[in-house]
Formats: sequence, structure tokens, C-alpha cells
Amino acid sequence: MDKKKLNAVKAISLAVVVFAMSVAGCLFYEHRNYKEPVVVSEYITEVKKLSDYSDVIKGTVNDCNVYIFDSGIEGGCMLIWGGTHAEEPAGVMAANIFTENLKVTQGKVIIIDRENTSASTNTRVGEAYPRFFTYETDWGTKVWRYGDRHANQLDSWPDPEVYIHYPSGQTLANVDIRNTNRNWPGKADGLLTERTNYAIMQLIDAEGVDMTLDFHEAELEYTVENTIVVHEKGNEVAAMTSMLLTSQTFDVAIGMEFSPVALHGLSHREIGDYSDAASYLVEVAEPMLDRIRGITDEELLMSGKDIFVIKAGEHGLLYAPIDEEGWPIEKRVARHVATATTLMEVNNTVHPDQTILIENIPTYDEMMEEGLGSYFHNPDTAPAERVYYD
Amino acid sequence: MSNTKKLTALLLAALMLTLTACGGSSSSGQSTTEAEQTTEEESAAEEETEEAAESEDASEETASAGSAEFNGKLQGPFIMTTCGQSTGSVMMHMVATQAGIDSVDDHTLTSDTFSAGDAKTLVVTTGTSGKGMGAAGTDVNAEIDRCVALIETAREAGLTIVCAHVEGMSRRTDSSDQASIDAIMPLADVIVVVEESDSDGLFSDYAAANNIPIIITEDALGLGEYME
Repeated sequence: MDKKKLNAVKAISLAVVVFAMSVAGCLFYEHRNYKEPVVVSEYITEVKKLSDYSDVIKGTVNDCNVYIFDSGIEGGCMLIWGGTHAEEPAGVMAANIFTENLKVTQGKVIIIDRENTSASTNTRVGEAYPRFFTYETDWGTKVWRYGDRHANQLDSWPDPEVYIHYPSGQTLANVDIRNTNRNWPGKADGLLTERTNYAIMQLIDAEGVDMTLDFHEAELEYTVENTIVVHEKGNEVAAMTSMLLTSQTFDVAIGMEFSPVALHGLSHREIGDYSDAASYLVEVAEPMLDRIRGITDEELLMSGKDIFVIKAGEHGLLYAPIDEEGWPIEKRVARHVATATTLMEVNNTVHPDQTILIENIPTYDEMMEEGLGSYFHNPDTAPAERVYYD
Repeated sequence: MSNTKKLTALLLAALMLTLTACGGSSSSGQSTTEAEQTTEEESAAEEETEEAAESEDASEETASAGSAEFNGKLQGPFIMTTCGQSTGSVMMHMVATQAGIDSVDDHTLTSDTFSAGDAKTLVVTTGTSGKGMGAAGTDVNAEIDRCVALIETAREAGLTIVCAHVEGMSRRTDSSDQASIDAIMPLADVIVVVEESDSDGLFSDYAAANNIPIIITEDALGLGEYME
């Protein structure tokens, strides 16, 4: 090949590479910088930043909004959050349902929509995850970032060769240093996720939180599915909640698991151990997370329908039932919301001094019948002082 | 001639009905409320026991096979434990507590630490939790050894032994789950399950084959009706 042709090939190659990088760069930029609008409930009493409780998180992407609903009447305090794992959308959507609608008439409820915001700017390499997920409402389309289990390497780098959990000394996979549900109770001078959880522990202490709830989703191939995992402080409340929901509300039972005492870093273990709060974590089925799934797109994410997962279910290979109806997002969000409200109700009876009374949150049946759209509000027409961004 | 045949047929039918009723009586310890019936005898027993749950007089009539003390209801106060560190015993403990019946839930209770007090019933829930056993530093074999010894001691102390499985098919997924069931169920005076746990008839078939009273409820919360 003569020099002229060689230069032409090089120029064309360079142009292709630059074009591809530009397109990818724009997509990455859009994903990383999109802000999720939240129209907070008219009954909200205060919106703080997580850094108001600890400076260690100030100026970072994980300095999230803390939505506070304080009745001013003595009672209990519950902290609820979504977004620990940003590839589990039911958590952030359920948290949004509370943030946008809640009214507390006794006690206090605190909501964090995005516990690990950095993870929502990330993706799972090689898995072809969508960048966003959406839900249609009467006023238009509500959009959220879709992310990964782990915080973005742009925000937390480098990973250690072996992640040694603080303070237990337990060793974990190195990437779990960026998984906020592997580094509770956090570390003030640690990496981003450790500092995030440290700051939340300061919040728990400062606000006098009595119970915490961490929203999750899980693949149907996973044994801990459709269940409440609970610190021993909450055994009785979780047991009654599980039985009530199974008996009266859900078509698929919700179980209960004890938080392993020796498995460190998880919210249901460490928050209970290192604060006065009883810690709960709830799982719901998300077929998108199953390794045997087919086409990985937003349709699967939201409908929860996948022929390969269904086939696996027919062969008895799963830990949750699935049929042609799948696990639609309405059902997953409704289960989370109902679990949170039922935990409050049961806790009111077991610990009357921690009573929390709430209004304006839809029931499981309402969400299943009407969908979720009417519980998300239009940021374009809402009063500016009620619009925040996660 | 025709009248003779009719009379003979009538007498035979009456004889069969009498035998059926006797058969029903012999298995009247069945306290099943939801189980599928496979024989007329089981059906008759179930009807009798449903009535027993509603009427003390009737329940006296049902006290028979399996346990002389069983009258269709589980007698408190209770001692609960789990063979496999799953959460079933917490659930049953909460049901009892909500029903206003004294109950103690101890997941590490052994024959050495056992004290009957005024308890009348030991409930051992089956089905295992890998997380739970790992957390407790035990395994299914050690759990079975612990519970079998505990049951022997409790039986000597006069307690009724209940084998329960109240967490559905999620606690019937592996060999550990089955091992705990296989070890405890034969030792039971009464079997207690939720419908989902018995979806393949494992418990009700065993109860029928071995003449052990069984209570089957739609869900764990419904067990409150069977406690007193």
C-alpha cells in the first residue's frame, strides 16, 4: 500500500474512532449529568443534605437530599431509602412515592431517594443495561437514571486489591468497596461509599431513628427473595409484617430472614449493631437481574417478563414464582410501599412509644389497580419551591 | 324376588355406611381444615374436626388417635424452637402472643437447658435457613440432634410435640429443608402446616398414613384460631 492510501486509511480510522468516542461521550455525559426531578409532598417539613449531618460527604456526588416529614408530635422515627443498588428501580420509585405524597400526623419519617447516587451514573460493563428507565404519567414521562450495584469508578478510585471491611476486618471482593450495602456502618476517612454510610449513621443518631428500611430487588435465582431481612431487634415486627402481608395483601408471600450475625457490611446487620435503630431490608423479584434473561432492555426492566426466566420457573429452578404476567414494576413498587407502611403499623403496636401515623400513601390495591402515574407529580407545573433534584 | 333384592341392597348400603362411619371415627384426630381429601374416611374425619374447632363438646369427641390430649387445638403455654434456624418459630410465637397465650421462642434451646415450667406444648418448626444456621454457627445435622434430644425431654415432661412448617415452599427447596422435616415429623403428636407448605401433600399424606392429627391453615396468621 502506498503512503497516500495508508494515510487515507489512517484518517478514516481516526474519524471513525473520534465519531464513536463522541457519541459514547455524549451518552455518558447525559447519563452522568441527568438530574431526576422530585416534586416533594406539600406536607414535607424540611429538606436537608446528607452533609448537614457529616462533612465527610460534602462536595461529593453522594451528598444526597434528605427529605424530612416531622409531625411535631412525639412518636417514632423511621428512615427509608431507595437506590442502594441503582439497578433495582423499585427501590427509588417506592421512595419517590413517599417523598412526593407523604403526610405524617404523628412521629417522623425521613426519606432518601438515592442512597448511592454515584452508582446511578454507572453501568454494568458488558451487560447492555439501558441508561434510563421511565414511567408514563398523565402529565408526561418521568425519567430515572439506571445504574449499577457499585459506585462509579470516576467517584471512587482505585479499588483496593482486597476490600477489608471496617470495623469487622472481614475480607470481601475488591469491588464491594463501591457497594454501599457492603460497608455499613461506614468510615469517616474511607472511600466514597464508606463515607456515605458513615454520614447516614450520623443522621440516624442525630434524628433519633428507631427503625430503618432499605429497599432492594433480587434475581429469582437468588435464595433470599421476596423477603424481609431483619436485625434481631426487629424480629417480632418483621414476623407480624410478613404474616399480615402474606395473609391479607400480597398474592405472592413475603418471607422473613434473620440477619446473619457474622456477615458484615450489610445495612440489616450493622445499623442494628451500631445504632439504636432496628434495621430492615426488603427484597422483591426483578427478572432483569437473572443471569438467564433474554433481551436486556427497559421493557424487561419494567414489565418483569422474560421467556427464559419463565421457562426456568417451569422447571422449578427459581426461588420465586413467575408466569406470563411477569413481575411488573407496579407490583414491585407496591410491595415495597406496603411493606414500609405495614412495618410502621406493626411497630406501632409492638412499640407504642414509637408510634408513627401517616396519610396520603396509596395502598397496595390502589397501586395495582390504578398504576403509579398519579402518585408522581409534574415538575414543570409544580411550585418551584417543591421541586428538588436527586 | 325384586323386593328381596332391594332389601338386600339397602342392608348392604347401611352396612357400608356403618363401616365408613367407624373408619372415620378411627381417624378423627385429623384436624385438617384445608387439606385435600383422598378418602371418604378422611373427609368424615375432617368434618368432625372442623366442628371440633368450634365446639368444646365436639372437640372432646375428636380426641383420639395420635395424641390422647389433642382436642383440635394447640394448648398453650408454648415453647417454640426452630430446627434449622429459620423464622417459622418467631412467626408462631407472634401468633400465640397476639392471641394472648404465653409463649417462649428460643432458637438454641437444648434438652439440657429445657425447663417445662407450665408449658403444655413444644412447637418445633422445620425448614431451614442457610443464613440463620450460618449466623448461629450450626448446621442441619447439629440442629436435628439438638431438636430430637429436646423433643425426648419435652415428651418425658408431658408436653405435646408439634412439628410445624409455616413458611411455605421457600423452606422446602433443598436437602437441609427436607432433612429437618424428615427428622421431626415422625416425632410429632400434631403436625401444623400452611397450605403452601403442603402443596404437594407431603404433610397431609404422612399424617393420614400415620394417623397423626394435622392442622392446615391458609397462612400462618390463621393459626391463632387453633391456639388456646
